[in-house]
Amino acid sequence: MIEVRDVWFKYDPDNPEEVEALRGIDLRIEKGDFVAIIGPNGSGKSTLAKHLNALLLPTRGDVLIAGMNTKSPDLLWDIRKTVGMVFQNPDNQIVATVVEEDVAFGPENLCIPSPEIRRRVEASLECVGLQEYRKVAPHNLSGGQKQRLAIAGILAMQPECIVLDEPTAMLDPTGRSEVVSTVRRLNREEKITVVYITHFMDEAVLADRVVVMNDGVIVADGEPRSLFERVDDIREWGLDVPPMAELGAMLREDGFAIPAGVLTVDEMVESLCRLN
Amino acid sequence: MSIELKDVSFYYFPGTPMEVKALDGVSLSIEDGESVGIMGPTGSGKSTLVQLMNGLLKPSAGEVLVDGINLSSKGTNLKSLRQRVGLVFQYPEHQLFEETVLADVCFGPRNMGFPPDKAEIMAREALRAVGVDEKLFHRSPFELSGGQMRRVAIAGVLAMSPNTLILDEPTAGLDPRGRNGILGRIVRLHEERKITVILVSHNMEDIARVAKRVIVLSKGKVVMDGSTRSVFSEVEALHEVGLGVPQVTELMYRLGLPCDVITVEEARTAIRDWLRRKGTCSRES
Repeated sequence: MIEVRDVWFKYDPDNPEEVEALRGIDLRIEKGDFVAIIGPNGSGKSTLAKHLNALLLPTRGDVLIAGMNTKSPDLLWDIRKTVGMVFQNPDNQIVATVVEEDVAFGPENLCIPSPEIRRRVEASLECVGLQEYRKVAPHNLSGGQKQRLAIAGILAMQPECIVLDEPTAMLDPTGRSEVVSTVRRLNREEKITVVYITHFMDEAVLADRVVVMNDGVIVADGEPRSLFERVDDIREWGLDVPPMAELGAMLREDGFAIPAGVLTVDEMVESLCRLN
Repeated sequence: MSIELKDVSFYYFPGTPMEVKALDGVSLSIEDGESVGIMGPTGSGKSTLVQLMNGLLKPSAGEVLVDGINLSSKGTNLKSLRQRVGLVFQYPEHQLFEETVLADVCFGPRNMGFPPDKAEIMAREALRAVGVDEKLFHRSPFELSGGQMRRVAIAGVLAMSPNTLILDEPTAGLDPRGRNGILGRIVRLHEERKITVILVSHNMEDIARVAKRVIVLSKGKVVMDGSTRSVFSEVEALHEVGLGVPQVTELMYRLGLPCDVITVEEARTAIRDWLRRKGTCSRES
């Protein structure tokens, strides 16, 4: 689905002093994957994300989206139809004054016939659970609802993959869980490939695979369970250890048989109860 | 310096069809030297509340008193009030504008009428207090990382030597290192300089780390107000207003243990004791 081959990127290629934001990234993402990308500020996460739908082009190396090279100008529209992006600030992504018109904006631009647009708008709003808000003005929605609207706008273009760049950074806990569960459902039920950038480790643990970036390179790539056991490495990369992983490590140190890889409250409750 | 709200209500667009009641009969008082967390879902009135506290908004009904002075009375010097009650908005780095870090932080004290040399001393002091390296003082604030920009913006308020520092979501969008850095500095300012700190946040872990008291807003009303421990132990009530608790507190709740636990270290002790009481043998014993 997505293939990133030895990609290097400089924002200002004429400036010899500037350090590359990406330094030799190799990454394959298969169709239907749910991949979280984590890493400190300035590690290159967003730069990488913008390469996935040709908002940025590699200074060196190639990005292939379903076999299409992002460097081919002729394929730009097809690439952007294949990979949709959702950004951090919901207010910057809304273009219309009515929810359903906002969702229709993408397909209208793709010159899709009206009856089909109508059908897609309905389906997309249903997918993110905003059907009853279709006639509402977007500024009256909560933060979580606005982000779900942004996702619906992307869905209406029927992409195979959605890239979300810190979609919950500005949301309250309710908004965060609305967005996270919507994204998970799209992945599980609609089989949409998801690339999910976040600073929240409790969101990253929900992915099938976690990629850790630091200083423009990928420093780790694997299942969340095995990854978050590496408590010292995680700290070294400037990231947080999920509280349950940290507690699990402490209790093991105290001699209790808590299995490694416990990441959520549910799992901790279960393994504690099993001790008895 | 004390802040007191007496039966305060606030309406946006009063008297129009768009009238919204943002605060509804709020009474509370915050004493000198407290550290208070304000929580509540989006739209519960948190930002309105903090803007009332430094006179950016005036109550539609009720009174806001700072050190006993009514902010709505004629003749109240709001400029000096805002110097004493410093408010750091959400994403404060969007308000940086000067050419260098130092010039940006000098802006507040200069605006208060301090001569350039004195303003610079105050700015340097504030930048040091939030942990901005001297090497960055003459750089453009726009070349800095997100976490550093945030610190510079906080220094801009701190340079005016407020007795009370109100921060609205100071860690939103920062990575864990940036978040820990800023929270650590806030805790130090509170402990070493006895500055009253009021922290508005969605992040339960952040609140647990900084605040000794928590006020919970829901639909414009104060629904809970007490010590951080006691508020967080009301797990069900918090869930009801759409808020979470720190994961370790949630764990205690699920295990049916006392919920007055807010750090991982405390959870370790509580669970260890619980398991030993139940007679679960650890491998060592």
